[in-house]
Amino acid sequence: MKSKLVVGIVLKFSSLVIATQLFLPGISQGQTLSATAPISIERQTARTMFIRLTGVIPAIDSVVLDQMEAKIKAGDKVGAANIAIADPNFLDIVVRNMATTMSNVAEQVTDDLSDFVATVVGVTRDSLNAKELLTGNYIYTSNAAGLPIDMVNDILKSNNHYAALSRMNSFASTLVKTVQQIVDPNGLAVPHPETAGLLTSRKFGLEHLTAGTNRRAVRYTFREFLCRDIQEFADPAGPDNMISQDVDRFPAGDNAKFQAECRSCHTMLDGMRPAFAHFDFSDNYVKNTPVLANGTAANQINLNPTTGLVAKSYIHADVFPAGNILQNTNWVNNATRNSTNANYFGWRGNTSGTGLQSFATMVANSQSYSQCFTKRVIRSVCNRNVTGADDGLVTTLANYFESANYNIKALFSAVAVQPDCLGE
Amino acid sequence: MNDKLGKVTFLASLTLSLILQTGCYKMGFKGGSDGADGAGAINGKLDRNIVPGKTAQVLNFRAVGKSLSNLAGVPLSTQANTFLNNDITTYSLSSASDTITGPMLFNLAKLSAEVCLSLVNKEKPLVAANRKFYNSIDFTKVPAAQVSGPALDDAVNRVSRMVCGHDASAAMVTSIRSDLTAATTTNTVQDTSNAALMICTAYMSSACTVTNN
Repeated sequence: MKSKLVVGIVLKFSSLVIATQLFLPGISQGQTLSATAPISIERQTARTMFIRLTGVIPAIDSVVLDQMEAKIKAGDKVGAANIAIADPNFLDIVVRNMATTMSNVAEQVTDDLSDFVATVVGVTRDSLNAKELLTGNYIYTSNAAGLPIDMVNDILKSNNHYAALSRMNSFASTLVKTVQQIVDPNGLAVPHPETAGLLTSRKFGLEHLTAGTNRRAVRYTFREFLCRDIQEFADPAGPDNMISQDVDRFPAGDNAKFQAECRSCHTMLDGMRPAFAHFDFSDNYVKNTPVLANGTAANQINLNPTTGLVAKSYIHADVFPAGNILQNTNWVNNATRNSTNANYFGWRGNTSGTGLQSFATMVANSQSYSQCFTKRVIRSVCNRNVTGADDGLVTTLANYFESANYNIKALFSAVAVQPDCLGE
Repeated sequence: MNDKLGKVTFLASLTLSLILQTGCYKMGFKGGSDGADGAGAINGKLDRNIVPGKTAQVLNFRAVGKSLSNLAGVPLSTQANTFLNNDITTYSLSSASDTITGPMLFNLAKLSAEVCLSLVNKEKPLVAANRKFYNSIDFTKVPAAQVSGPALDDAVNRVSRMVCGHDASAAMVTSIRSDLTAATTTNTVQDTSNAALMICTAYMSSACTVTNN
């Protein structure tokens, strides 16, 4: 009965719908597969691989599957993966989704396209060294016609540029590398004096430098780029000499509580937050203390005139006056002391320094940076979280990632051909 | 879109969705991954497209429109784009296997019907040899003989290959034949187009698309 009804209604329905064509299908139809020819195992593998790497489902007779099937039959699965990676949806959907979850506090994949996301997509597209995501002096903007492109008003002081870009059917091909800039006292865009890739992007500032004490920026740097949240690397035996005045040493009158709980996280956060002590995000844009003068007027930054560091570093000083008072941007990484942290992060190079650039370099140079990226790519392509059982695989793939000069595309290819990923 | 069209569209979509939930079940939309995020099986029994050790990937919200367009080989119509944009938040955000929801299936059926309508409209005027899906369907004739004969087998198989990446099983053809036989008793020429639309929509909104592995 229901079936009869639907046919009747569809009859009316079908005659009324306007079938205006808005855009053409993205994948060309192939010529080699007839309607009755057997569909080879290799073609099925190619189809799965294509879906995993682009997010979209191809018609079984598409040209791209012809090409991938031929590669797989020739024993070149990586070559097949690279064909899928050349599809625009790899960047527009899969890499964008991966980057978007890294870009916001809530880790929502639906979050806005931003300078952060565009830069990850651009670095991937251009096969640049992924360490530059934290050490580079650039973001990616779009050169697509018709977008709001004023550096101050549409990029530094708002997300207008990227919001408009996100409405395009495909955006990755329009991205161009752009030197990072910052707003000066006159409200103009000038070269950024202290760049650290994504850590000095507007989106990172919006998410992690707004209000607060800049500890969130440390926490999320570790969480997003090293895949470790603060409670996972907290160390109750860590030194407390860097813990600031705003942290109560006697919470609820109990110093033991501070020693057992507060200290373990603050030894990390307070040790490293001086790296961000030149930065604030207010009035909708990233502010830098060497660039802007003290004050609350337009294009000024609220800073401590004695030290020249952001005022938020000194809030609630009366909570524990004997606590540490920031004097400079010298930071120290205390996630080096116990073997668990040392083994996990695999620090290579300095674990203390001055300013944000050295901090970002330390993060990018660590073994856990390449391993974290590997885990994210496994999550994106294989659609599952990494477990302890995958440690060997992660290590192998991360080593390959490093040997491939941190090329994100190469990492995606390497992950996509894993039998575990394709369900073989 | 005027009110009348909106009501008709909605009613058609709703009814179609109800039919397709049965159709999806018959196609094996009853499994779940045991891998992704530890989400566990949705309903216990595993479909051929979701096997143990292999993680299911649920069609992502950003990929829905492009995927259906690819599979049918037609661009999204204005109406399809409207449906897609209005319903975008009901589709899977993470692609994890536990993100399949009722509203998602409902809206996928609605969107699929629109895409398939474009496909039928595209293929109908073509000579049979130039069609991709409905080569054996005679759109100038009533469906009765076609539904009971090899024309249906051919159409179902072509759609299955394109959407699912494998030939249609005999059970699947029998299931669709049964539904269409019941649905086309008025036996008008228009019913032939509607039968073609139903075949396409059933597959497009099935597990083959939802858990596209």
